[in-house]
Amino acid sequence: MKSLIAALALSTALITPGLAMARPVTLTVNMADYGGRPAYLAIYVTDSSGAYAGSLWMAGGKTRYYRHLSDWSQLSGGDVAQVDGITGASVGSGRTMEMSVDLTDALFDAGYTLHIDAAAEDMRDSPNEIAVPLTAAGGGQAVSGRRYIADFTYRL
Amino acid sequence: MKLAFPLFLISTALGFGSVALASGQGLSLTAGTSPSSHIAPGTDVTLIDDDEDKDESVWFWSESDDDRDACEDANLGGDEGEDESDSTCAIGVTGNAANSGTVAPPQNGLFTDGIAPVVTTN
Repeated sequence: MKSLIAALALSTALITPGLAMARPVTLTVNMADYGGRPAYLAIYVTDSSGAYAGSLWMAGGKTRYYRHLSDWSQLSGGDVAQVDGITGASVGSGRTMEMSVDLTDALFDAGYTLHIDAAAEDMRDSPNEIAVPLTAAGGGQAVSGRRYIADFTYRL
Repeated sequence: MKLAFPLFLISTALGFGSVALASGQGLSLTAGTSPSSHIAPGTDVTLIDDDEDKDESVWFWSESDDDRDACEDANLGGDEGEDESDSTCAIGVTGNAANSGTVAPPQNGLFTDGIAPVVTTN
């Protein structure tokens, strides 16, 4: 019985900090009425030095178009493994994409920036269309895009 | 005479057969076998392209056609959501990144290991 309690205490001690280190975040991308085909979006994070930290989502599955998401492609080396398992459909004009994810707590108020590159068929590429610092205070504040994205918001 | 009669029958049968082939709608060995080559002049014709290949136009800018491989051609669809469901070429090596739910998400330290973001579009 003692060993069971000890094991339970140990597992709780190990699991609890892990749960505390992530926070549920909802990211909302409202697409502009740009009138073209569905857009590819790369959502990724850079650290305080501007170095690539990782990808959160890739909207659009065909890898040969990823070079049009030029900042993501350059920073990630175009490594498709970075988005394997976190890829979905491209997003149409006027649509809204909502993403729910448990983000690591350490990303907030630590100099990390969330970026979105966008591109669509027969239209101009739009690298770094969204660049928003990840801060607790910035949650819920809409950030306007330039070409394909009307606005972007993350909520903690 | 007994030998000549069967020979006559055989040659007659072969002769009729070749005439029938030449005058029928069978295989043509001549050029111009497209549907339009059998249509009388002045007839209104509607050609139906039912392969649903909506991606005949060039994606983004035109330089992107150069490196298209057979697997990508098989998956062309391009519309929202359609290009992600074909399992024929599911992995990045063959032209598509792996969709969410088909493989484990990357352990990049940004989100909880093993739990991919949940995305909805409306």
